[in-house]
Amino acid sequence: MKVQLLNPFISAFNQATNVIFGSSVERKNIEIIDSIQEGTDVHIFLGLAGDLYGTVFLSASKENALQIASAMEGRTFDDFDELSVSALQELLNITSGGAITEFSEMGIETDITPPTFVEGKDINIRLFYPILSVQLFIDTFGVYLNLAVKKRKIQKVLIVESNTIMRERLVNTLRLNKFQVVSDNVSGNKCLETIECNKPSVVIYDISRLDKNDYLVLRQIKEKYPEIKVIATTLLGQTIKKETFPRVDNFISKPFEDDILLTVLRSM
Amino acid sequence: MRALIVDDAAYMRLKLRQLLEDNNCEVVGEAENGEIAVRKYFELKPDFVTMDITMPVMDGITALEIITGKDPSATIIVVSAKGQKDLIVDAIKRGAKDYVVKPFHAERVIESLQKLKRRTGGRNIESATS
Repeated sequence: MKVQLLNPFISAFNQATNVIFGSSVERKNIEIIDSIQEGTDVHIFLGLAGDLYGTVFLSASKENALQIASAMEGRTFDDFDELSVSALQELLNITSGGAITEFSEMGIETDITPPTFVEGKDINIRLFYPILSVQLFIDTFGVYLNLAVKKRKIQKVLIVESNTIMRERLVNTLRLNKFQVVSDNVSGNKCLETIECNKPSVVIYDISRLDKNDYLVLRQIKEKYPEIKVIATTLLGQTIKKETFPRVDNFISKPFEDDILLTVLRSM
Repeated sequence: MRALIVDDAAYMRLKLRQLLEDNNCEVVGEAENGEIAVRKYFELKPDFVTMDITMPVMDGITALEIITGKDPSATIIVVSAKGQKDLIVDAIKRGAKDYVVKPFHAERVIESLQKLKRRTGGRNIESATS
C-alpha cells in the first residue's frame, strides 16, 4: 500500500481541525502497523468503497477522545453520550469526505459509509490489509489516523480491431468503466511490438476476418506473454473452431452488449 | 424562515440549529435520515431544508429527488462532507438550490441563505439574514 494514500486524509483532517478548532494539527511519521496501537480504547470506523476500498479509522485513548469531543462541542464531556460520540464520528466523516474529494480530482472515485463508534479496553482488531498509520495532535491531544485500504487494480487493455466504429465503441466503453486502453489502433502485425511497449493484461483481438496471420500473432502472444489474457471477437453466426485458436481465453461474438464484455473482462 | 435540518450526526444537527437560530431562522424539525426527512418535509412544510448526503436508511440525494419530484419549488441546500464536482452538479440537477461542503464556516451558510433570498425575492426568507 502506498504511503501517499494517507496524504489526502491528513490534509482533510488538518482542514477540518482548522475550521472546527481554529488550529492546525501536528503530525508524526507515517508507519505501517499490523495491529492497533496500545492504549487506544476508542475507535471510529468508516468504510470506503470504490476504486479505493477498505476502512479508515481514528483511534485514541478515552481521555483524548473526550477532550477532542469537548473541544468540538464547547462543553466538557466526562463520558460518552450521543452528542460526544456524534462529534467524533463527524470529525472522521468530514475528514473522509475531504479525502475522497481530493482522490476524485486524481481520478480515483470512492464513496464513504456512515461512521461507527467502538469503545472498549483491550480490543483486538484484526484487519487483513496492512494499516498505514499517523499520529496527529490537536493541541496536546493525540489521535491515530489509520488507513487499511486497497486500490482497485486497473486493467490495461489492448484493442486490435480494424472496424473504426467498433473500435471507438470499445475504447469509450472501456474508458468509461475504468479500464486503461493502452493502444487502440494497431493492426495484427504491429500487435507484438505494441504489447512489448505497453504490457497490457488483456488483448481484445478481432479474428472475424479469419486471416492466417491472426492465428500466428495470437500464438506468438501466448508463447511470449503467457500471462496476457486474450479475448477474440467474431461475427455472429461465424463458425470458429476453437481448436484453431487454442491460445484464446474467451470468444465473444458481435454484436454484443457492453455488459457482456465487461463481465468477461472483470472475470479475468 | 422555517427550517428542517437533515443530518445523521446529532453534533451537526446541533451546530446547524445554533447557526440558523442565530440568523433569525426557526428550526421546525430535524431528521436523521432521508426517509424521516421526506415524511417531515411534507408534514412540516418548511421554507427550506439543509440536507446531508451520507446517511443510513435513505441517503440525502434520494430524499432530495423524492421531495423535489413532488414539490419542484422545494428549497433544499445540500450540506455534505463530500465535495466531488460530479456530485455537486448531480445534486443541483436534481433540484438542490445550493451545495455547502463541510467543514463550513458560518459565513458560507449565511451566504447561501442570502443567495436564496435574492433568488426568491425574499418571499420565503424575508426575516432571515437581514
